[in-house]
Amino acid sequence: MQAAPVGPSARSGWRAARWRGQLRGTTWSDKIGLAGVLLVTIVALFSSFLVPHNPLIPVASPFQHPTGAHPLGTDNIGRDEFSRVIAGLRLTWFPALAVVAIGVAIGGTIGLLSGVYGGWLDRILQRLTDLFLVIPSVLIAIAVIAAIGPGVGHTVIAISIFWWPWYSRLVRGEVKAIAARPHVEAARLAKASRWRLLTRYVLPGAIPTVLVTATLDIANVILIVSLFSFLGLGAPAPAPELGAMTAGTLDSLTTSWWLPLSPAVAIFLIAYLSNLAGDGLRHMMRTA
Amino acid sequence: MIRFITWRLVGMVVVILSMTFIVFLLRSVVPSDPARAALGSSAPLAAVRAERVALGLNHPLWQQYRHYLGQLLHGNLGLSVTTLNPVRSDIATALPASLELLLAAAILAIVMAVVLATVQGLLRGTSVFSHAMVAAGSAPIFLTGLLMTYIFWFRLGWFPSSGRTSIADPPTGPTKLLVIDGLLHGRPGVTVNALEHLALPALTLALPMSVAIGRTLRSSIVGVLRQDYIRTARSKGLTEFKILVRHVLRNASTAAISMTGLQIGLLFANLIIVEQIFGWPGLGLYLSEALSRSDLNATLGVALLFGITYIVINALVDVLQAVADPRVSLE
Repeated sequence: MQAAPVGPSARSGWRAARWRGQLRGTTWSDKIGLAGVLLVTIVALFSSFLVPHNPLIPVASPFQHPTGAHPLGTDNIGRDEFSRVIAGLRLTWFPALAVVAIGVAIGGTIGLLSGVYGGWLDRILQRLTDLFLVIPSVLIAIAVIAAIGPGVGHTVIAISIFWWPWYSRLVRGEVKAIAARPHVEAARLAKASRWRLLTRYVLPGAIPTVLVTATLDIANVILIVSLFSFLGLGAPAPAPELGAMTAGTLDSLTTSWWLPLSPAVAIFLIAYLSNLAGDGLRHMMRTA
Repeated sequence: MIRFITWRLVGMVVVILSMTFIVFLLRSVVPSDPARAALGSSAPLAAVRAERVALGLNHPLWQQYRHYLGQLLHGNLGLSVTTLNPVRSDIATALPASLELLLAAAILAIVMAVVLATVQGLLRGTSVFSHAMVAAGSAPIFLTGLLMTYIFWFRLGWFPSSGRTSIADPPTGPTKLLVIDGLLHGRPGVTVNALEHLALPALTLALPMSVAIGRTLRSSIVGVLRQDYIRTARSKGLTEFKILVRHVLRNASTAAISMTGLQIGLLFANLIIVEQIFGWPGLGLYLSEALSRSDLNATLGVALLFGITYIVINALVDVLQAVADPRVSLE
């Protein structure tokens, strides 16, 4: 009998087969979501090169209807709306990713410390988490930005301050559940160091759940960021922020409906794709 | 039970105090110089120094906070730089309109959530409906409001697009809720007109909340339907409708009630957007105008009112849940 092949080519074959197996567990909507999120990231990253016109300066007469040259028409001073929507994706997508990343970093660290060390540290950190969970985060974030001044960075900071508690709870729960498993108990009895327990057992077990939750959370944060942008708390004009673009063209709804609706529809699309991608990741983790 | 309620109420007071401290910091410490902010950038230094003393800014922070708490207990939220009125009186003027809209939205949200959960149960396994729910939950509130306005006002002409009433002399009391005051004054036309103006903003505000509550309720219903007592009820010959109403909804409502409490915070944030889109003269419109004019006193005053309301409602929800299900207080 021929022996099974070993070596780098065999391992890469196993990895490819494993990925195919995980993708096989996903539905068509999951695949659309995952591909869509990747596309949005690429477009947001390279928006400066992808926009057909400069989103900040007038290029035609104002309030033009959608045409081939201007697929979403032009705004009140003649800027290409399509270019502004593409450029605006960056100012919604990356701040949302930043808020989730900061939330995972802060909340994950607090939850990890809380779950690993336990005792008085756990009690103090969880009371702190409880306090931040009960305070109405969105309203206080609005108040924070009103006090420190509008801007994308301020929006990210204000939302992140109140977004981490969910991840603290999640990571602490995962750490406690993993720590109670027999193989971790066995490692502890074998005098494995806390660092080894953390890096070899706890973190690898907690990461998938956190990743799925964070991906599903991106859609919620996109809606919050766009809400702040609509209220004028994001980047100041003439920056192409999708929420602010909608707010600034409300009066044009009956005459140039594409102006307030196209940025709002763009926000809906990226939030919807994020939700689908989160579901897709959840199905992939289940079949892993 | 009494112990649980007591601790919950004590916790509520602690959280409210924490929130007032955050607002105090935002009001007094975060702006680089509140005295300069009050007098303007061109005010002479001597006047700024005198203003700092008058504002108590030379006192220790804890004394300033104590003074601020005292002002709050007397309802003093400062002066609005936009209207030049006390923020308290601006809030009192705008509150009834928001209250009417919030009540209408809450009632609609609960009814729609129950309908959505029931329909979702009947259509189990149908991916189209679940995708529609995900899509509804992904739409920003201003997209929903704009589509409502464009379709139901501009294209169909079924409902008005802005304002609270189109009647020249609406009743001004006793409740200041036009839907109720119209009936109390024997003017049903006022009530009907108020309901017409309420329809689109209330529906816009209710939709995201109903989707969130509906999904939670649906998950709870699925869990309850698996219980042995439901099987017993079926074997006794009860119809599915009777089982749903008498046994399932009541036992499945705990998680949905919790979700409702949590949604209140987002409801207040969405209220700001909806009132701006529909020109509804409530606290949300007042806050959005305060934000655009950097009116910090008005912004913080409304945020504090909304925040305290959110904290109190969630505490009451927890207490009601403990009363309805004593197992909650034992957890």
